[in-house]
Amino acid sequence: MIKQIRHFVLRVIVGLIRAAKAPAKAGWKRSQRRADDLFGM
Amino acid sequence: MMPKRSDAALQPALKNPRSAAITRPSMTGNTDREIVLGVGGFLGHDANAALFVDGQLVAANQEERFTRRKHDGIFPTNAIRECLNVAGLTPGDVTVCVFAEKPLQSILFDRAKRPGAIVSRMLGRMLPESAGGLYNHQARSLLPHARFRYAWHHISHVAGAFYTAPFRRAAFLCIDGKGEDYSASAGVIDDTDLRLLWEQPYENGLGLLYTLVTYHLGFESFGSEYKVMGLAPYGKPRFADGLSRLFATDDRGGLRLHEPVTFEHRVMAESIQLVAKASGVPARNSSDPLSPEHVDLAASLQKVFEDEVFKMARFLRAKTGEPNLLFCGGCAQNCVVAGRLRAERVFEQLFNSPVGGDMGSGLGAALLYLRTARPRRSINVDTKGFYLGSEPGNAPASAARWRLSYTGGIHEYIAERLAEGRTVGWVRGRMELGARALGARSILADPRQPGMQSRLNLAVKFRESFRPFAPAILAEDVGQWFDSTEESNYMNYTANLLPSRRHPIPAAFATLKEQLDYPRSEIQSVIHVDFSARLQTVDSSVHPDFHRLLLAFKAVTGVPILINTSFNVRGQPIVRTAAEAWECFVNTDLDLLVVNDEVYANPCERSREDKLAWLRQFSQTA
Repeated sequence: MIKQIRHFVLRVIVGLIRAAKAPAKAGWKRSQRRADDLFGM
Repeated sequence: MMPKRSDAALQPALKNPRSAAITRPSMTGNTDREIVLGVGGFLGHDANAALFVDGQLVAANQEERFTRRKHDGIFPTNAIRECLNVAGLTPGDVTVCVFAEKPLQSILFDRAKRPGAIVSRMLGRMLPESAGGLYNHQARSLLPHARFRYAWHHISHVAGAFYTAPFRRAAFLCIDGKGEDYSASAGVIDDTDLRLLWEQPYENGLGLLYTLVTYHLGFESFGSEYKVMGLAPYGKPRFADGLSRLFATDDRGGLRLHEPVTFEHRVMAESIQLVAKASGVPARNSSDPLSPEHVDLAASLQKVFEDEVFKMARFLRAKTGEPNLLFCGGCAQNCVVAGRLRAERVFEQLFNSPVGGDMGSGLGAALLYLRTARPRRSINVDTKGFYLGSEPGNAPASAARWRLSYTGGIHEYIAERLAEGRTVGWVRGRMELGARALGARSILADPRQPGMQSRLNLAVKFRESFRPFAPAILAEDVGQWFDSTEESNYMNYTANLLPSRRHPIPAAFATLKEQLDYPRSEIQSVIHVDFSARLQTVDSSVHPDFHRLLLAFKAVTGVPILINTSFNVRGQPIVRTAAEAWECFVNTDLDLLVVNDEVYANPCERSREDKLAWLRQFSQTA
């Protein structure tokens, strides 16, 4: 049951990403990341 | 992280995280010392671990050397245990475990096939540490007292390069197959400041193009890009324009394939038709001979690759104004482009880390943690010449009757045998971290001997005859042979043979073999057809034992150069222990084996058929 819920949540998240994000464009872009961010997964 | 083998590699971890059998260790829980373990590569390939005790680098190992599967990407239990053994610690002593990737971001991207940076970053921050169970279950079982941290994959590469580089401030350029959902990252780093300034999304980047054409050329096994790099000098880049139809680019080195491709084996195999269509060169099966068109396609790919890397480096130089460059990531393992970047002074100084690829990502992640956790304390890394692995132990008892006695020093004895044309397996001290043998687990030979390149390739390494060998040369003598006097301690740059050392060659050759066999110089076996060589400059302060052997060889022959190639056969990870070295030794045509101070003769008891049968176990990864 837990496994099924986990997969369902994963599918929802993946679906959201697919729907929300356009394919990336070529080339450099300004980074929005922090290089020393060690906490988030 | 370069290409993933396939999504299948990820499945066991997602579907059944408890599948791997790991014995829960004793829980010592020593809390007096800061024990930091860096772990990398186990979402893709080249799993590895590095251990720091109170800020000092103690050991680093690659899992493939234990499991004997090249580029193995499983959780590096064996590598971790060996690192802890060296330090006299148990898994329960580890206080912090740092992973060289952000798994959630990477996994979500793999599933969605779209960059999800902002979404997955937000999720990653929201989830508690314990929610990483899908990814770090094995680590949590093995390391009961450790806290877990997650570094950006590319920044792990950057930290590993920075703390092993000769300068304290630099721009960095990390070009990789894939790190989370990025293919390249750039910025500036010094002892106190680390700024990530620009990035390129993963989708269809430079590393992906190189791997795609590598597949097209029939080198389908994982990690074969270096073979294409070695093949390129034999050809002419007449298909570069054709290849450029595959992608859009700009003057800053942004590259994007027109059609979506991923590193997944199935997608890659289906996508090679794109290369055939763009270049007009049909795909090659791995068992087919290399045609002139395939060789020229390899040259074209290398040209396209170098052009793009140069554009990226020039962009970075112009934007940052920094005089020094750290060049790292999987694509930086292309020592030809690294050598050209350095020779053409795009930056005043360039450092190409020997562990800038995934095999050193755990080391980099641990360094990034130390830097972040202790911002006021300087970090000085003694890399020990990257001899960071295991001692070899003793040769098996069955080897005893083949042991040779000798008088005088072992370096002098072996130097004389090498000068006689003998080939030698050289196993001494702790083994190297990284893809290159640096004189601890090496096969050595005299580069002056006619036919030595073919002999080593076909009868010892069992690999393609075109593959070049690298020269190890005394650092103090390099200017007398090559056009660069700069260090290349870890075999990470190419240089060119001085014109005065070259023999005249015909304008054209009828076949690849004729070109290969033509005597180009006195040290033919280590000089490529374009007179380049991938140097290891051997410095007495970095690799003292190997330096002593080269000195002895020079005393005998007047030539300060040896062939140095990794002690393995095609598809096999480099040997780690004396027992593995003995097994490899008796299954090849090597003449002598050195294990620490002992020398063995080859029993020559196995037939060619026996040796080929033994070799077949490695063919899956060849």
